[in-house]
Amino acid sequence: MKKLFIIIAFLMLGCLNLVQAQTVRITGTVTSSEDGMPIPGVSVVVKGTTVGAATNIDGKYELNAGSDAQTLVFSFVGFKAQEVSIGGRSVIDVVLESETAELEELVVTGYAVRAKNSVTGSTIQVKADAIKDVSSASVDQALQGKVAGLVISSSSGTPGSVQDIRIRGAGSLTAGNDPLFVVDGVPVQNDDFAGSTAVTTLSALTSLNNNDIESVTVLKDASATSAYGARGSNGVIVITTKKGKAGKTNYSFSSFYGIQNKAVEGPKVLTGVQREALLIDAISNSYGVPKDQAIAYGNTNIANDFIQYNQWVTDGRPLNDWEKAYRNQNAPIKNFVFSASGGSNESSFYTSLAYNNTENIVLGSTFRKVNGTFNFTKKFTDKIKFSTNNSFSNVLQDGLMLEQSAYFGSPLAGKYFTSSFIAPKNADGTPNINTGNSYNWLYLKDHNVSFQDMNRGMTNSFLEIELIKNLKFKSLAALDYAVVEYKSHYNRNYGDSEGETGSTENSVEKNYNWVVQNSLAYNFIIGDHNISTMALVEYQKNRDKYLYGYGENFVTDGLTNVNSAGANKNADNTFNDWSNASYLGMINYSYLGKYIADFTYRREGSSKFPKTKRFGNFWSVGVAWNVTQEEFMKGIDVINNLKLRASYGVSGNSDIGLNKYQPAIKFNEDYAGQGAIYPDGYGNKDLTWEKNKNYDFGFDFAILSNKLSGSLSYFNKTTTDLLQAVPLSMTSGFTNLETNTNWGRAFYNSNVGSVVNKGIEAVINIQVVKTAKFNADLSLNFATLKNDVTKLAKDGLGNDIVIESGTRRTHVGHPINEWYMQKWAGVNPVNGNPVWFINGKDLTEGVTETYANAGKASQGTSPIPKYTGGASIHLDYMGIYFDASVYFAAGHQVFEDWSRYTNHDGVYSFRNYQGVATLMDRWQEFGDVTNVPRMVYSGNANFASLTSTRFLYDGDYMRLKDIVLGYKFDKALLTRIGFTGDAAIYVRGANLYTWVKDDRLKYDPEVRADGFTRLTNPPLKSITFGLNINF
Amino acid sequence: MKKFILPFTFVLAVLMYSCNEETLEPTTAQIKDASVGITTVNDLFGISNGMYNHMSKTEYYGRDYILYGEVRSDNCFSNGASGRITTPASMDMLPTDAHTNDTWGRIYKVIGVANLIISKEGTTLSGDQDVMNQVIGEAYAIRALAHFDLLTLYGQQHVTGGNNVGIPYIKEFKGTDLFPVRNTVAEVKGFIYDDLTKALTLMDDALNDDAKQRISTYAVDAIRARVGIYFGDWAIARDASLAVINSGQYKIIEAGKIDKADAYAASFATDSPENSIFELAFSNTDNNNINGIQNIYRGAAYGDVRVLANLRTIFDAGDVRNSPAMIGMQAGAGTSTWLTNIGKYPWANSGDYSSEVIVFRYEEVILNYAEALWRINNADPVALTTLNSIPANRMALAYGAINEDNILKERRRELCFEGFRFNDLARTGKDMPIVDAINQRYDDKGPILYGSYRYAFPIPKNERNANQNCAQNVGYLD
Repeated sequence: MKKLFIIIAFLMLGCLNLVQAQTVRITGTVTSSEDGMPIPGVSVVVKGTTVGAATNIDGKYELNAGSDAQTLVFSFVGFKAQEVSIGGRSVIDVVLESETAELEELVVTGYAVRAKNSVTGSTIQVKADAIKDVSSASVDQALQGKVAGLVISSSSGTPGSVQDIRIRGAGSLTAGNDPLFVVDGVPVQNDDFAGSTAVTTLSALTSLNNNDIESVTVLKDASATSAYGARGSNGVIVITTKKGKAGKTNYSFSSFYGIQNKAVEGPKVLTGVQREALLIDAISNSYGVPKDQAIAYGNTNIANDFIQYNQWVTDGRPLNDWEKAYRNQNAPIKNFVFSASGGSNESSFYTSLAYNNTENIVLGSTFRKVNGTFNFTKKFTDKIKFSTNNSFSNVLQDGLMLEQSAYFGSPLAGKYFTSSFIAPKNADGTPNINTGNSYNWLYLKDHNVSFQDMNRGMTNSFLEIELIKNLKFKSLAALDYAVVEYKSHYNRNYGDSEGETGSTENSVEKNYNWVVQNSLAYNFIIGDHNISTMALVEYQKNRDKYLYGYGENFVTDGLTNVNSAGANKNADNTFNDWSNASYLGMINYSYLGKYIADFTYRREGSSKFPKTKRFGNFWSVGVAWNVTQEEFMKGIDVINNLKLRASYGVSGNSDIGLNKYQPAIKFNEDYAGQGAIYPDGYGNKDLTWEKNKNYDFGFDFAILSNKLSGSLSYFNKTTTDLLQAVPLSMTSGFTNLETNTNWGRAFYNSNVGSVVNKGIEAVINIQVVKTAKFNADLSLNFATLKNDVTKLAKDGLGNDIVIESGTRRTHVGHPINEWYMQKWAGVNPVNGNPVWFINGKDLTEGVTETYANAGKASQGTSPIPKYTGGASIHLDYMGIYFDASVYFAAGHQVFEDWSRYTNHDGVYSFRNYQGVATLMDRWQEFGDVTNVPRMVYSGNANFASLTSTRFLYDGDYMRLKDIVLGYKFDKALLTRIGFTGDAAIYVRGANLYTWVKDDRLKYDPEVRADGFTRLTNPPLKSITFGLNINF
Repeated sequence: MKKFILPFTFVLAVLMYSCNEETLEPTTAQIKDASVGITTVNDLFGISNGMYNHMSKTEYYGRDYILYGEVRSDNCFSNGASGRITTPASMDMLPTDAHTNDTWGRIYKVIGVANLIISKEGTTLSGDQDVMNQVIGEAYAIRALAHFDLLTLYGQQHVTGGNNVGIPYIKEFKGTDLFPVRNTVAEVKGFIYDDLTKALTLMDDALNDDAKQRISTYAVDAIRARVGIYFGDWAIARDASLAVINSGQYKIIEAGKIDKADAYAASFATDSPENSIFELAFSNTDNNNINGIQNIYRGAAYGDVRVLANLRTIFDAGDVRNSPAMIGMQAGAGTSTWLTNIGKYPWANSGDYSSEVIVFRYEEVILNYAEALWRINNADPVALTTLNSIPANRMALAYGAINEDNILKERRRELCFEGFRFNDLARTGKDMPIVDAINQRYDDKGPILYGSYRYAFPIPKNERNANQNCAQNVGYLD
C-alpha cells in the first residue's frame, strides 16, 4: 500500500512538474555527527509538501523543490530530525545528530520504559560503559559500589561463582533474600547450577555476555518493584540487552588481557620452625618436661605424632609453603568480543560473539565462556513490530575445587590444614603423596577430573500490534533452557576415593523455564492529562530434571567414566517444577509533567502454596511532583531540576523450597535391599506469601546548570508474615539431618514474625569541570541500613522462639542473625589460660577460665553492614581518560570460621593440621601479656579457639574497586591512517587496594551475607590491558 | 473497533486465568502427601524400612551411638585425625555440640517413624493383617529401644543432683503437644516395659525375619534383658534372657579351639550369623561410606577412633578376641600407626563399608543371664557356668568365681568396641578409669568421678531454643 502511495505521489509530482515546471534542483550529503559517516535512507522532505527523496548508499540525495519551497526536513530513525532553511542554495549538506544523546534519560523498569522525570520510585540505572570492560565473569559483580543500598559480596573468587546480593538489607529469615533478575522484561533463573554442594558454585548469570548489556536498572521501592509483585520484595535487577540501531552497520571489537591474584593475601601460616617451637612448648606445658627434652619425650611417649616432624628434621628443616605450591601466580585472563549492529527503518539487528578464558589463581583450575547473541527487530508495518533476542552460551568451569568447606582435597583449605613439616614435592619434583590427612592438590589436579559445563540458550520474542492509535497489544514468549553437566572423578591411587579404588559421579541437570506475557497498553491525552495504562497477564513455569550416576572401583588409570567403574554403581533422578500466574495492571498519570501518579496492582499465584492460599494481591501507589515545571520556578535559574517523590506499596516473597506446605513422605532411601519410606517435612496447610510493606520518599535535584545533581531517599520496608522455618522440638522427629541448610534443626514453615529495614540513600554527582578539552566528574553514593526483628513465633509458654546457632541469634529488638556468643577477656598473664566473661558482656559477674562457664550474649552487631557506599571520579583530557571508584561497607562484624582448627591452642595447630602464624604470640611464661593462650598437648586444649569474640572482627573495609587509565585516539589521526571509526586503549586495575579497619582480620573482608570468612577462593585483584575499536 | 477489542481481550485474559488456576497444581514426583499416601500394609512395611534405615545412620547405630560407649571409657579414644568425636571422648561437651544435637535428633526421628507406624494400629489397610500387626509390634519395640538409648545418653540417673530426670517419651506422630516435658527415669522405664509387652502381643514368632535385619519376637526379649540389666531389674533381665535362650534359635560362636579360632572374627564379617539376634543391614550400595563405623575405626584420614593399650592387658594369652584378626596395629594418616579394632564392623578392604552392625547378639544375652542369676542369688551355681560358657569358646581361661569384677571383665573382653563399656561402668557406679592420660584427654579437669554431670550429654541447644519445657541437664549452661 505504501508503495502504491509513493507511486501515486510520484506520478502526481510528475504532473505538477509538467504543469508548473518552476522547480529548483537541490542535492547534498547527509552524514552522522557521531562518526562523520554518510547515512543512507534518510528521508528528505520539503516542509509542508509531499515532495521528498531518500539518501542513497553514499548518503547523497537529490530532489526538485518548488520555487516557493522554504525549508527541508531531514529525518531518520535514531537521529534528531533537522529542519534546514533552503535560502536559495542548491547544495545542502547536513550533519544529523544522534537522537539518544539529546533525549531525556529513559529508565527501563522492566515492563515499561519511562522518562526519568515520570518515575515515582527509587531506581538506579547503570549504563553499558560501566559494565562492559569489567573483568569479572558475571555482570552482577560490576554493580558493587555503583548503586546506593546494594550490597554485593563475592561468595568465591573462582570465576563463575554465585554472588551474594542484598538490596536494602535482608527482610526474610528463611525465605531467600536474593533479588529477582529480569532480562528483557522476563524474570529469569538466577540459581546456582552446581552439580554438588561441595564444589565451586555456578551462577546462571555467568551465561550473559557483559558486553551485550545496554543497561542495568536496580529497582528498590514498592512503586518500582510491585509490578513484580510476588517476587519483587527483595528488589529487582532489570537487565536490558543491546538492540540494533538503524543506520549503517557498526562493528565493534573489544578485547582485554590481564592477570589476576588474590586481593587480600589471607593469614600467614606457621613455618616448620615455628611449628616446632609450638610443639616443644605444648609438650613442655602439658607434661612438665623441660623444653630441651620435649622432643625426646615425644619420641618416646607419642611416637606416632613425631613421624612427620622427624622426617622434616632429616630433610634439613625445609621451608614448605603449601600456598605457594598451589598458587597460579599472575593467572591470565583473556576476553574477546566482536559485535555488529545496524539496520534500517524497517528492521535492525545486533549480534555478538564473545570469548572469555580465565585461569584461576590456583593451579589446574580454569574458566571458559563462549557466548553468541542475535537480536533482531522488524517492523512489518507501521503498526506491527516483531522483536527477538537470542543468546546461546557455553560456560565451562574446569578443575573444580572442593572449596565450600575444609575438605581434605581442597587446595584452598590445603594451606590451613597441611603441615609445614611436609614437603609439597619429592626430591625428584613429583608431588609428595605422603601428606597425612590433607591430599596434595599437585597430584589431584593431574589425576582427578572435575568440571561443570553449562549450555544455556535464551530466546525472547514478542509481537506488538498497534490495534488503534496508542493502543498496543503485545504478546511475548521467552524460553530459557540450561543444561548443566557436572562430573567428578576421584582417582584410585590417592585422595578422597583411594578407599573405593576410584570413584566417579556424573550428573546432568536440565532446567527449562518459559514465560508467556500478553499485554495491552493504552496511552491517551485528555487536555493536560497524560495517562498511560497497561494490563498484563503472565504465566511462568519452570521444570528441572536431574539425572545422576555414580560408580566405584576403577581398575585402570585414565578411564574416568561411570561406564568403566567396576562396582557399586548408583543412579538417581529427580523432577521438580513450579509455576506462577500473574495479572498486572499499571496506570501512570501525569498532569503537564508536573504531577505524576503511579498505580500498580498485581495478583499472583504460586504453586508453592496450598490451593486456598495460592494467590496474593500486591499493589503500590507512587506520586511525584516536578517542582521545576511550575510557573513560579521559571525565573529561578539556579535550580535546574527538583522532583519530590513518595511511594507506598506491598510486594511479596515466595522464595522457599517446593512442596513445603505438604506433610510429605519420601521414598529415596532403602533398607536391606528394599525401598524405605519416611516422613519428611511437617507441612503447613496455611502456608502463603511473605508480605513486604514498603514506603519510600525522597527528592531528586539538579542545580547550578546541572553541575550539581543528586537524590536523597528514605525508605522503610516492613516484612510481615515471614516465611519462617519456625523451630520445632526435635522430639517431633522432624530434625533435618539430610540437607545442609538448617542442618540439625527441626522446624516447620509458617508465616509468622516481622522484620523492619530502614535507611537513607544519597547520591551526589558533581561536574567539577566541563570544557571541550577537559572534563572532571565526581559522584558519590551512600546508604544506611537499620535492620530490626520486631516479631517472632511464640512457644507454649508464650516466649519468643529465638533462632540461634553457635554464633548468631535472631530475636526481637535486634537485627537478623545478630552475633551472639561468648566474650573473650584475653589471656591470664599468670598461667596463660584463656579467659572469658561469665555473662558474655562485661565484668559484672566476673571472668572464668572454663569455657563451659562462659555465658553467651548479644555482641551488638550483625553481619549486615550499616553503612555502604561508593565514590567514583572521571577525568578526561584530549582523549585521555581516567576513572577510579571505591566501595566501602561499615558498621558490621564478620566471624572467622575454621578458627577452631587454625587458631587451636592444642594439637590441631602443630600435630594434626596447621596453625596460623599469629599463634607465635602465645603465652610462654609468667607475666606474658598476650592475646594468644599457652599451647597444650591436647585435642580440646583449653577451648580457646572455640567460638568467642576473639574471632569476631569489625567488618569495615574500603576497596579500590576500579581504576582505569585510557586513551581515545583522535579521530582525525585515525582518518589519516585510513581508519574511520573509534579506537581506544586502556589499562584497568580491579580491587588493587583494600583497607581493613580491624587489623586482626587477616582474611578478605568481603564475605558472604552470612558474615563468615570462608576457605573459598577470596576475591581477586586484576590488571587488564584492553582495546576497543568501533568502525 | 475499540469497543470490540477491549472486551475480547478481557475474555482472553479471563480464559487464561481459569486455565492458570489448574496449572498451578505442583507436580510431586519424589514425594507423596503423608495424609493420603499410606493405604496398604506394603506402604506400612516400607515405612518400617524407613525406621530401620534411620537407625542405621551415622548419628545412631551407624556409628556414633556405638562410639559413645567406647570413646568415653577405657577401651578407645579419639585421635582427632579428622576432628571427629573428640568432645564426647573427653566428656566435655557443650549444648551446641553437633554430636549431642544430631544423635538426639536422629533417635527422635526413629521414634517419629515408629509412631507413624503405631498410629495405623486399629485402622484398615489393605494387605496381610498379620504382617501389619508384626510391623506395628516392631515399631513398639523400636520405640522402646530408642527411648532407652536416649535415656542412657541424656538421663540424669547417674548424675548427682540430677533428680532422676529422664527424657520426653513420645508416643504420638505429629502429636498436639509441641513442647513436651521430660519424663522421670522411672516413667521412661515403665513406658519401655509397656511398649515391649505390647510388641509381643502383636508379634508372631512365625513372622520373624530369618536375616535378623528386623526386630523379631526374640529381639524384643533381648531388648528387655538389656534394659533390665541397666536398671537392676534382675528378675526381668533373667526371664527375658531365658526366653531368648529357650528359643533355641541362637548359638554362641564356637571359637574355643585352634582349628575354630577364625570363626570369631568371621562371625563379624558375615551377614546374619548364628549368634545375631538383631542386626542393621548394610550393603555395597547402601552404607554410610567414609562416614561409617567401619571407616572411623580404621580408615586412614578418617580413622579417628583407636584402641587404648590397656584393653589388651585384660585378655588371657591366646584369647581369640585379642588375636591379630581382632585387634592389631594399623597405619593411619601419613606414616602413623595405631592400635586398631580390626575385627568388629570389619572391612574386607578399604572402601568396603558393607559389614552389618549387630545390635543384639546372643553372647550379650548369655552375659546378661549370668549376671542376673548372680545378682539374684550370689550362690546360684548356674551363674558361673553360664559366665564361663563364653571364655570356653574364646580360648580363654575359665573364671574360678563369679563376681562383679569378673562379670565386667568378661563383658569388656567380649563386647568391646560394641558400645557397652560406658553403660557398664555407669550402671555399676564406677568412676571413669584413666588408663592413658595422654590419649584419653579428659584434659586438666581431673578424673571424672561417678556422679559427675559429665556422665550425661547436655540437652541440645536447638531443642532448648524450640522447647523450653525440656529442661537442661545439671552442670550445663545454655
